[in-house]
Amino acid sequence: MTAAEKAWLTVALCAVTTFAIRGFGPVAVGGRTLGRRVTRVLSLLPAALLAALVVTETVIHGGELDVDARVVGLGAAALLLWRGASVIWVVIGAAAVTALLRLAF
Amino acid sequence: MSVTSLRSSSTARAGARAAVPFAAAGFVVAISFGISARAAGMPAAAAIVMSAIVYAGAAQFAAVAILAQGGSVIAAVLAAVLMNGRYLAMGLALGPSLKGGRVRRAMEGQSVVDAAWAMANRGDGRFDRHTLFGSSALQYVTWLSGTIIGVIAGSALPDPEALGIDAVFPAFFLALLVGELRTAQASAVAVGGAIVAVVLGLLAPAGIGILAASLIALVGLRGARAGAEATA
Repeated sequence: MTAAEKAWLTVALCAVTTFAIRGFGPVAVGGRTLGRRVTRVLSLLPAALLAALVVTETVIHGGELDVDARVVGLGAAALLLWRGASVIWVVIGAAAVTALLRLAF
Repeated sequence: MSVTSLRSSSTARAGARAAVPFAAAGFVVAISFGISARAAGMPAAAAIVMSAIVYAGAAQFAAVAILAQGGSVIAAVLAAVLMNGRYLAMGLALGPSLKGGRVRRAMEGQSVVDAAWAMANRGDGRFDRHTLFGSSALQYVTWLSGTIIGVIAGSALPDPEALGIDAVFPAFFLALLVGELRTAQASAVAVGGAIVAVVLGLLAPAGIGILAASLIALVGLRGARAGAEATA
């Protein structure tokens, strides 16, 4: 299979699976209300998943620990968030700090 | 136009307005996706079609990263599925707030993306549909247009990492995460999830760590403590 064929097959399979995953919850639950305990677990899910995504995307590269300028870039993002900056400046700030560090070292 | 539909379209517009910073940031993230996809050797059209019909940033980044490392199609799709596992949970939470029969619910569920879902969350277990739709629609437009620009830029840029492009995506998710840390319990869950994801990320195939991190949220099954009470 050529690289282009692999890419197109991946796109097609991602589209089908993503559609199914997004559609499943609303269809399975229907109009029923979920219990308090289940609601509590669901309300905590984004915190667990987003933290997992942030950390792995920052310090893991190709299955290995890779601490580089990105970590400082994320530190800058955290500082901007703490100062109440809008998310667009958080994103641009993280990229700019990472780029400047790579330029300097 | 009836009073209800007037109200719902204004809620959707309010949702879109509230989503402007996220849509703008998503535009930058999408540019970084287009550049990464080109760097991974993906055809420009495939990257654009992916953003148009998959519309799930983390899954798209994960799949492209695996293809870039020479991984198989199965591995790439599996990583995307694991990344999207959170949409299963988000869809279950959203379910009671949607309307209509099975087909309509499945279609309405397609609007779920992280920022839109979080914004539509009223914090009492219910979601505002129109906020979700408005917010998601605006983010879709910037996600798709950003990808197109990224694909074009990616063909011209010699070294995207020199621009710090790879820091864009985690910074965006950090901003979403901060909005979720409303209670002490949520913060503890975030720390736990991060530790699990890093440890398994180093030991297990890509994506497993992220999914395992979601299990940390099961601490919510234990009786409502002070922190959890505020969320529920």
